[in-house]
Amino acid sequence: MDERKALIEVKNLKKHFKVGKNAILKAVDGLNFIIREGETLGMVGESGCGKSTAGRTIIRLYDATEGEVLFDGKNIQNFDKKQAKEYTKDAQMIFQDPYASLDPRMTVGDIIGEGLDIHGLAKGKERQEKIYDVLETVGLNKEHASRFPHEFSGGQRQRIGIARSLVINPRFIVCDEPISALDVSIQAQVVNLLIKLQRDFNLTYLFIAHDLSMVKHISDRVAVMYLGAIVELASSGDLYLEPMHPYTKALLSSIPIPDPKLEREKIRIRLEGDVPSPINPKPGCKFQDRCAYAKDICREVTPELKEVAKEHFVACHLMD
Amino acid sequence: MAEEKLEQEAAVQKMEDIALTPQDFEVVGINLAEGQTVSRPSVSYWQDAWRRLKKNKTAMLGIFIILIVCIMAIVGPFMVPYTYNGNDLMHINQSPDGEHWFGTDQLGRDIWARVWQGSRVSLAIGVLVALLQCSIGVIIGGISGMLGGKIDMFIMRVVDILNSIPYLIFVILIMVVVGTGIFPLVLAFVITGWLSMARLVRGQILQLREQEYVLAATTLGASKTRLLLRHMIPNIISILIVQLTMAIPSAIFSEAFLSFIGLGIQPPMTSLGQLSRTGSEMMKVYPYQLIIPSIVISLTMLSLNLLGDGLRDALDPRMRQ
Repeated sequence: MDERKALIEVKNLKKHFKVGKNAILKAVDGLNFIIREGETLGMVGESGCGKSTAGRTIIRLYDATEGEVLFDGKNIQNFDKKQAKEYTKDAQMIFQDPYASLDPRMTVGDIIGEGLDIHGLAKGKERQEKIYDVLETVGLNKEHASRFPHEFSGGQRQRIGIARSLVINPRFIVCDEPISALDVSIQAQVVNLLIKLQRDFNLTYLFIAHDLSMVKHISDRVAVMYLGAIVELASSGDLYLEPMHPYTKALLSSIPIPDPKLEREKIRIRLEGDVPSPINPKPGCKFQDRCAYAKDICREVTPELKEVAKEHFVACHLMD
Repeated sequence: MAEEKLEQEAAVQKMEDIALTPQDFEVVGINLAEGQTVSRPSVSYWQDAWRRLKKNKTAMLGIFIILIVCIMAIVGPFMVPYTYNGNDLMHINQSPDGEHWFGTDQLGRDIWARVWQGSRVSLAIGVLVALLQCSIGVIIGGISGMLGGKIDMFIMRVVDILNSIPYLIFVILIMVVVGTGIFPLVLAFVITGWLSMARLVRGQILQLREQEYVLAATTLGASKTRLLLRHMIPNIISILIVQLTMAIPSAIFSEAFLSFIGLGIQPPMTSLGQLSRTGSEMMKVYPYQLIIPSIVISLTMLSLNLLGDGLRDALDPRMRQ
């Protein structure tokens, strides 16, 4: 269907944290997916399911416990110092909290220019020009360069964060819930800016969020995560029209419909219980305790992500 | 319940009856540039802190007293025709008068000259010790917090061990090995004083390491040195300044205490503590010999502490309005 080549390939990625003597927190436990050049992969799931950890491992903020991440066919875990620095130029990240992600002691110009300084991309007047250009690209103006982050609103700060990652011309950007800290009216502005930038600069996004409707709007394909693993992965149209995994179904049924009549008639799937702890998880399907259709096999064997329909992957024994 | 539902349905029905058509709406458009102007003048962090400090009356009083003491420590000894160590056995133990403003001591030395010479020594020791403590603390704490792991563990255990030895033992040991005077005193204070500074800096660095702006710089490819120098130290500098202002009076006090018990500055060189010691010998007969240096010590320490408190409030980002 899609012939574009894969820019990011994630194979059996695991990230475990040691939290106690015999306790291992399996934040990310066996991820497999690819992101094609120029596409947006949305990643949704509730808090604590490992979305952010996955994003940070892919960007090399964390070292993976197991598995590999290929960028342009090269394993990022095996990078030497020089390649690692090169990778930071290609792969960037936009952070969740626009209030915490900008250094309060630096001017906006210096924050944006830092990438240029580190990679030695531009100096003096050229650096200044680049900063002004990128500020205008994200919808701010050049007077803002000499100001400090605390003088800006949340939406403006997020634009500064976007400008910072954009100025060094990356190919791949991990957006780690870039809109969840913003007002709804500003969310749309920022998402539309991200879409526009993707078109203009042929960017590839991994868009992490928990707002399902926003993810649908921006993503080509969507991966649904639950407790460190992907339970369903499909194009955003397919996923929203015919969700197959019981968890995805429950998740989608929670989206409010902006029509009071339909909303009242809608059947909501309510899940019982809470997300189990990712510390020392039990074998079998991770969703077993909350799934209405759980069978014996679900308690013993962890389901693999299988292609059930074309380009539609589900990890569930019910699909066999 | 049923009534409520009926009401709701009626409301929905009503909304549908009004029946707005697309013609009723007009696209107003949105001028993005208009919303992006910032009208407030740009105020840097330090300007803002200074503005807040100026509002704090006690802190300003502190600054005022410190300035006076500093100026007097510089020009004071030159204001009288006597030197701090020139004795005049014909005029011993004179009460303060027009000739000797603060009187003379039992060797006939002018106390005015001695007090300001002593302030000079005490302040110099205080500032030097505080600066050295801070720099060593920042370097070692920074390395420890930044590198983490085994190195961090090792450095922190060394700090723990050094911290468990009382500082008087260090002082006496150094006195024995190096001798008495300003230099051994400074050495002894610095060896014991950087420990708490290093702990503080390490703790701050560990906190900052998880901050998103530090992570952002890491994803931009910033080296550890760059992270430390460009992002972490500028963000803890306010804490360092407060610590520095608090470390100066504590060093002055330690020096005064050691000189008072005879371990510090030796005569004829003088310091505020040493002056108090000499004064205390004559306390019953000539109380001014003790009172004057004591007042100068107290004022210096009080004002530095007031300034430290004021700086802490002014530099605290949570106080920002």
